[in-house]
Amino acid sequence: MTKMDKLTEVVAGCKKGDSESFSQLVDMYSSRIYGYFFRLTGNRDLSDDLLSELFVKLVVKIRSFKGEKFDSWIFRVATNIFHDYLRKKQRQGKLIDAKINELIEEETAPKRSDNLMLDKLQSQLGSLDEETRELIMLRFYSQMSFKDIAAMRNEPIGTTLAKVHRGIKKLRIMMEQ
Amino acid sequence: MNEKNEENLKELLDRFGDEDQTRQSLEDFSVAEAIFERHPAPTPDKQLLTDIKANVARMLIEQKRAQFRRAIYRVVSVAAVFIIVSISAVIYFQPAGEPVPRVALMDSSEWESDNPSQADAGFTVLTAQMDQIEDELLAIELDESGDGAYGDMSLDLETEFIEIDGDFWKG
Repeated sequence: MTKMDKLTEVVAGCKKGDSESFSQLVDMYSSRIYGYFFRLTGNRDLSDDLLSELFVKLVVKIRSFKGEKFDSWIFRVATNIFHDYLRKKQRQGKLIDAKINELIEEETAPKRSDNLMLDKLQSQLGSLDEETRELIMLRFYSQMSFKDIAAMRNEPIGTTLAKVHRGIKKLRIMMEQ
Repeated sequence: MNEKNEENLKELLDRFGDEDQTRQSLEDFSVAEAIFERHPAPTPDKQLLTDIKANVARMLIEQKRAQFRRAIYRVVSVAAVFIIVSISAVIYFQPAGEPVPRVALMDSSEWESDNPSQADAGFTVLTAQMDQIEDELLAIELDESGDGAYGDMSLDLETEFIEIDGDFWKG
């Protein structure tokens, strides 16, 4: 059985409400999505919460999966959860409209409360703007093609490609310093 | 192989730049890949994954219960509608049968009469007996006979009570 066949079988089981299939889905995607959330937030506790929320939402949302590329679909849900989190923070008054980027920088900056020593990559990612950082994370953690990322964001593929390239070029320079 | 690797990046970059730009971009992407490989993100704790799986399993059970309840409500609703429609149909389409005969409990002349004893013989006898008893009671009360019968009756009754009382205590 190929990896794709296995995924198809697992997703079909999830759609039927099979608990074992959901467990397998957690095993298959938790590391990549956790990495995605961690690189966006720089906070382990927050990443724990977002990952938990994702799978809770999947229990309900899995029925709306119509058979497109599952990786694209699940990372779209993950991206929406991250955006919901940002909006919630904003509503709570911990953010102001024009300063979402500042929040991300603050979130991605090393925190004493984190029990993990944040790596250099995490620090440098905090220097990128939110959109670029999110695009790069999608590219490296979701394994999505540029075509799919562009489709997900409703923008031309050239735009997506240019934004990611600019971002990784900047990141490369910062990392080599 | 994932979608990212399936995609021909060189071909894609060629569409947006010249050869030098494509080569430089490919190198940037390659270096970025290497950076990410050298700096892997942390993985979730096993306990977190266990909790997530348990939470999902609990939600699935709740979801199934809710689905079952919804199915029951749907069946009950459909059954109720069916019963109401059936009863309505039976009532609506029932053929108009023979009218129920009305039987009078008494003759209309009896109902309208002011003197029931005239209409009913039994009632006449009863009325006569009641009148007689009433007269006799009145006679006793007034001792009309004047022969002391009322007094004798009272005396007899008292004597009888005394005798009964004595016999009772004697055993």
